[in-house]
Amino acid sequence: MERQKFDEVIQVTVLHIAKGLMARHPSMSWRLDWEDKLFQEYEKQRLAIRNKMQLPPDLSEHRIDRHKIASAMALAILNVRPIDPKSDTSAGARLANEFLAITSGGAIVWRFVVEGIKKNRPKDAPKYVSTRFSFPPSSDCPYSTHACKMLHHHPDGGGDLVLANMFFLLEACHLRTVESKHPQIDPTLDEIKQASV
Amino acid sequence: MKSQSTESFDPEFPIAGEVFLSTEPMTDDEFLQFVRIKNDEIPIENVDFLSDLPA
Repeated sequence: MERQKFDEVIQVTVLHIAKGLMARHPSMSWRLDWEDKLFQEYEKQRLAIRNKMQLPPDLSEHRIDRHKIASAMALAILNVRPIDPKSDTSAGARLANEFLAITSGGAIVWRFVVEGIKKNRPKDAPKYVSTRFSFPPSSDCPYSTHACKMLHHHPDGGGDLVLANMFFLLEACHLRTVESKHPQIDPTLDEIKQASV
Repeated sequence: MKSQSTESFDPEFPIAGEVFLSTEPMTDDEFLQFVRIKNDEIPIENVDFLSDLPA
């Protein structure tokens, strides 16, 4: 990914989410040179995932699907750990980078879902735009908290492809949420997949 | 990725219905207790999926 495009993506994912986190945890701060390090780590993760794929010859060697983009970004965040919790010892601060990873990946998937609908079924686009990314229902504590704990125990997410499959399943859950909210629409993964990567 | 793909990104936080993690201070021990996987959280003895597998 070109650096300019990468900066655009993190502007609406990492920076956007971190803004909310830092408002809640004022003592947290960014680590030095985190943007450069995150870009380098993302490219490293993207290449590692790309090398595991067997793609048809007509697909560019630079392209990976959106779940793997989300996985590469999440792993880059987990490795670089852009947020420094400083003196904040709360669970939210200590797991800030895990939360940033899981939600930034979700935000990327959400964006691609919206782009796919805009392209293929524009009249339904507002329903997808207005429905925020939905994690599965969870008992005890929110799904994202469970996911943060998982990433705390397994900082590699269990492996890049495991994490990519998790984002695939999260997308499927999100689509069902949109469908149940708007029963008149019939979302299919095939149509949504046609978003340009 | 298309150059215009992020221009209209929802300005709102795109994750729904999730409550942020606690902001209450925790000692190291309390944090480890919070994140650790408790054996009694997974009732293995009640999981009978093996019987669904083909022989």
